Amino acid sequence: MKVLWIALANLRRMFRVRTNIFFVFVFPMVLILILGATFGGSASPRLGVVTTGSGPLGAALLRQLEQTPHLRVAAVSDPAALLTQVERGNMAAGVVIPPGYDGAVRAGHTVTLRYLARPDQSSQRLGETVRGAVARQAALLGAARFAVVQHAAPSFSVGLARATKISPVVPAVSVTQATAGTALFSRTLGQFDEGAWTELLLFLSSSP
Amino acid sequence: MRAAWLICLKDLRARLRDRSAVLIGVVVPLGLAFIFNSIFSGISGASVINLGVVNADHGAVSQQFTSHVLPAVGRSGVIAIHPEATVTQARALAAKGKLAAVIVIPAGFSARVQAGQPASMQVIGNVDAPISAEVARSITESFAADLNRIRLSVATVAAGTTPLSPAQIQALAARAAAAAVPVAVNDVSAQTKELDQKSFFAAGMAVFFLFFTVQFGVTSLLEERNDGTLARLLAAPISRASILGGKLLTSFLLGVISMTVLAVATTLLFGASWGNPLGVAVLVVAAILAATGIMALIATLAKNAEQAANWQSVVAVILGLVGGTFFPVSQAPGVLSRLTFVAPQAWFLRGLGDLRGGSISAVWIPALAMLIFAVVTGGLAMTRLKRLAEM
Repeated sequence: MKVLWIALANLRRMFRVRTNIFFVFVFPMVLILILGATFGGSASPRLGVVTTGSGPLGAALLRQLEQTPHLRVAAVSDPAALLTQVERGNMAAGVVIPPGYDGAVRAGHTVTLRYLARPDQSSQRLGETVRGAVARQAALLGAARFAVVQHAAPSFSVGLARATKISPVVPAVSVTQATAGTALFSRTLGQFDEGAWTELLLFLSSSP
Repeated sequence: MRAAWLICLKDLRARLRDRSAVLIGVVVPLGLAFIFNSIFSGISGASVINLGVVNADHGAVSQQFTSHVLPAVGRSGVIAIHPEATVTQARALAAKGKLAAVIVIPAGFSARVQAGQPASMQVIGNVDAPISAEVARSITESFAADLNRIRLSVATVAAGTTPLSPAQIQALAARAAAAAVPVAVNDVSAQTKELDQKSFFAAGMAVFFLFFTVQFGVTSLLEERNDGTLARLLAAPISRASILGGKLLTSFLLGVISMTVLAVATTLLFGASWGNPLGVAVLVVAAILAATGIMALIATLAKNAEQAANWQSVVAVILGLVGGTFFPVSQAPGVLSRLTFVAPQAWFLRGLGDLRGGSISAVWIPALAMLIFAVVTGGLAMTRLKRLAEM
């Protein structure tokens, strides 16, 4: 019983010093919060996209990119700002859809999108994901253009509308996905769980 | 001036003799930088994706994929291609993690594609490598999308007319295949304005512990007041400004010694690269001034040395965390990535990052920001210190 009273007295003494409250409670919580916010949750890379002046087709391509899984898309207003963000690491990579994209595609030219990436592995990988999304758009645009060239459609818009309408019906080449192996971490882990239990261990061992 | 210098030297000697300054200024940051580096070195670096390919088909279309499309991606360094004989073998390797993903082209694929029938390719990914599996899927989908473009082109033309003969369809398909792709993607290299991992941990730990190193200067004023030696200093024929100056100079010099030793040690021992020495020097001096100012201000708010040390530690830890010295907070969502600039540490790391990717002029804005911290907090501290010295 005496042991408990001594312990209680020591606890009270400890918490009278406000900074101890900080180091025992607040600091670990803040650490877990920041760790979780930064690293927890989805590991989706951020892709910046510039679409100013690219017209309705540019907006359609942006939507296509937004629908890509494992990718967070952020619209950026100008290429210079996007370049800075990519260089600083705030965005994993950037795509610049040039102004006049809409008109150029309709006129039958090949338009080149700029993919801004740092010379490291993760950016190169993201490039493949971007190319996949662009290829899906290019299929529709190519079909519309082909229809115009072959005089099967009076204008690009008509061709595009027709291609979009029949695209779900045309027998397609598809890609199915499966996974192999057993997961290392349970899927039910939340964003902050991993930070929380490691910090608990750290602070248990370092408490005064 | 000479008095200030003498006071500074006396304090420096005292601190260096008492090994705490050496520990906090050099040993601990070096040790932590080394530990963090060892822990994180395997994780964030992305390596080549080991991609297995099982071609059960060997037709013209699948050959196009395995002989042209995949090797082109392989040349960019993203994937390493491993042809496998059977799906079972490949799936087992993927399950074990030896292959990050496997692309399977089933038998009869080319025939189905050429006949206009539905066809599919399969991507099997290791469950713990979702990003690699995603990349494999994207590569495959790009190829499938190109095949679909040809099909869709033919279908769009055919939809507007009377049913076509197989020969006409073949001709159309050939023309569609020959048509230029409307959209291409061109890689543009961006510079890296970010510190690499080793340098990040080295610089992060250095600037974090800087805020502890510079505490000694002004806190010692409070110590001297409690010990009674401040009264003696005030009675001596030296100006108040010299006493203040001497104490602040101690902080500054300790900071300079600590940062210099850390910069050199991490460069030589760990291979960290801080960047252009002149730019680094500018940033380091500005950071030391900011740290000295902030810690001095906090010390003037405390009643005794112990309280000052406690408060200073709390603030140093908070600023260090928020400033992104332990882990980069630039990718954190919203508020946190803006809040980080409340801490001089964030400006210091930002300056080093920008210096990496650009010219020396990149350091001026971060240095200016840190100097503003220094001037504001230092100025406030000085006014309070003058009152302290008169007590």
